Amino acid sequence: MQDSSILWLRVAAILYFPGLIVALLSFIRRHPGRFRVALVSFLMGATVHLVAIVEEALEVGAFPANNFFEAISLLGLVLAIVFLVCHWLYHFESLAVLIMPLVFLMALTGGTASENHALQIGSMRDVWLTTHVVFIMLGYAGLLISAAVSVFYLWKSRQLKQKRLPARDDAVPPLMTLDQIVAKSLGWGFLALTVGLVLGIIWASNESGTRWIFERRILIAVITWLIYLLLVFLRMASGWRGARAAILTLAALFLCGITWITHSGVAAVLRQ
Amino acid sequence: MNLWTVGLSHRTAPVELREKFALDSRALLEACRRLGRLPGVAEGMLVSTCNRVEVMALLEDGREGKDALLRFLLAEGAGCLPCEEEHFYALHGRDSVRHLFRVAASLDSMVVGEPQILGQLKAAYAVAREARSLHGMLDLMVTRAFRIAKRVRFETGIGESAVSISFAAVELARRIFGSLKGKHVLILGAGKMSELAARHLHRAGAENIYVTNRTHERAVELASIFRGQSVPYEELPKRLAEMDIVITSSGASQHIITRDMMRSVMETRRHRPAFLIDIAVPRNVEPSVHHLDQVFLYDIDDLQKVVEENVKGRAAKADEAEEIVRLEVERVLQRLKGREAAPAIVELQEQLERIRIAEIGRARRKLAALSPEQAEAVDALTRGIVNKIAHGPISELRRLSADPDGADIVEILRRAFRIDSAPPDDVPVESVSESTGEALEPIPTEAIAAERKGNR
Repeated sequence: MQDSSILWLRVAAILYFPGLIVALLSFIRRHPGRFRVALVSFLMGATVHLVAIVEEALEVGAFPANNFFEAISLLGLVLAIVFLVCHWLYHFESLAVLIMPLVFLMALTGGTASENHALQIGSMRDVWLTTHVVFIMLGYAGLLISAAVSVFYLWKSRQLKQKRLPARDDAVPPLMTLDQIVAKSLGWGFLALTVGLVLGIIWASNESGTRWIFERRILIAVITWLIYLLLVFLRMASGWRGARAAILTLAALFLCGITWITHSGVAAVLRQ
Repeated sequence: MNLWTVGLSHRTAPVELREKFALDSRALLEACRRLGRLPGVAEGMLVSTCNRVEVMALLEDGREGKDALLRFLLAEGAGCLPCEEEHFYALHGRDSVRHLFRVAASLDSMVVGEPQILGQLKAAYAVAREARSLHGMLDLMVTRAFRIAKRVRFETGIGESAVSISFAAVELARRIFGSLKGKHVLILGAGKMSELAARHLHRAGAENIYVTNRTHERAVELASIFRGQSVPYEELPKRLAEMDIVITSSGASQHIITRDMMRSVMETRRHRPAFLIDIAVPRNVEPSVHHLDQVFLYDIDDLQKVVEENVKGRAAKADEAEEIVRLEVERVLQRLKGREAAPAIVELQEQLERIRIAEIGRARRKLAALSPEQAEAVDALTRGIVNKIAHGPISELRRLSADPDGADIVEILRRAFRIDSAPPDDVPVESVSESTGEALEPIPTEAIAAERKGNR
């Protein structure tokens, strides 16, 4: 990664940090008014994050997902944007408690890169591959949001079951709204992942014929997609909700994590 | 600030008395007009709800408002008797401002935190504006009270929790479904409690109300209240899957909704959440139904516990709210005192300058031989003396005007320096100082007796 874009990324992480602290405090102390401060800080962080990625793309002359650091930074930005859209649609402030730390950690990890760490895992000059990566990232972000909201669903459902209800209930949306967010983020995430996978297959077929089919990482990617498919199917066909659905979502998320590790060059970084 | 509040509320008067004083909107308008025309009343406003009837008036400086406003109130209440002194309260200055803010923030309500009072206060404000009895400082004070009420609600969340069984049911339904629009509600058994809960759910947006009862005619009758549908009792197991919320209050001695029935219902519903409110005794729903995934069953005790917790929560929040009100009262009074001090300082300076010029004029004959330079020196000398003398009082005036408790300093200085616009000498200082005691100050019996005599 280029020095200037690393610097921007570090600035973004610094801006994300107060946002996540204020979001945590406003959640713990139930002070909804303060969330605006967190949101402004987070928005500024996301803007600087975008600047870092654009600058990196302009410097390198290719889409910045060439190594682990670039990929994690990109995933952080996609997650931040998806979160902001989700907040704009549902005013779900408490979601920040789970998403903001993730985005911060992703930006921070991206910001620890140096020129020496820039281990290339492939060229991103191909438009097919670039689109493939963006869609896969959107799929992951959808699943992350879905998993985070599922945690809140379980929490709220448990409160209602135990009949121990907080007097003030504006921190988390109603159960059905949470369910809708999970369904939508899963649906759009699955669609994005599927499109990303198809584009990846087309690109790989053009580049290397059929050699890639039996690679382990491809097998893991396919299993992940199948689990994702199963999750979406069970929700749609049988109305799976609550604990069972949350466990399956977390399983899909775990597999997505493994797939991402196999594709983003984490092993190379760790070896180094 | 000569603001008075005289009235009676649920804290001081029984409903038999309050209802005599209650005014409908037309009578309120006329009463406000009469209040605006009362001698000495700069601005005024009347509030009439089922829990309180109050007259609030900003009187011209130095005027004693307690008796005049009480007479006005008694006249509006058609001289209803018997009234005793403990039925009324009269508040002045700081206490009056504090009372206004507390009423708006629903801290003086029978059910603390209830939201209706703010709407009623806004309606009273609109009537007073229409009657042109509200236009200056009191107007600003009332609109300030609205903002404080909003702040209290937002920051403490005092009105968010339900404090009645039927509202608790609505609140729980909202926690599960959010908006109740389009939700299907079934009333099983046509008891009063279920009717009340259904009424609240209907008001909260639930449009599709179904009623089933062993006596079908009663179901039809109740359904017509909500423009709902009656469901034959035998169809209950079949229709249950359509229902998002079920309220049961049937007199049946056995469980009507069983675990097995509900399990199959949830399969059909594809595990969409279902909320069951069982307010029947003996219970109509098998308790183990609550353990099914996505089924939330609350019986009468559960709802009662929710209400009790909410009442406790409101009491804690009321302390927070009182602190907000206290700070706002200080802030408002401080601002008003600042406003009061500025003209007093100018008047004091003008008065001293008048005295200086008059004294120089009187001495001029004796000082006729003075050269222009000497005359100028005398002028500068007297000006210096006056400024030195005035420096202390003006500094104190500025300092104490920022202190909410330094209320009388303006009055004292006006009197000490014989400033023209000072209130008449016969007004005792005590009558313009602000009481610092508890919120309610009873009206003396003499005032009521005098009014009774007048009415006769």
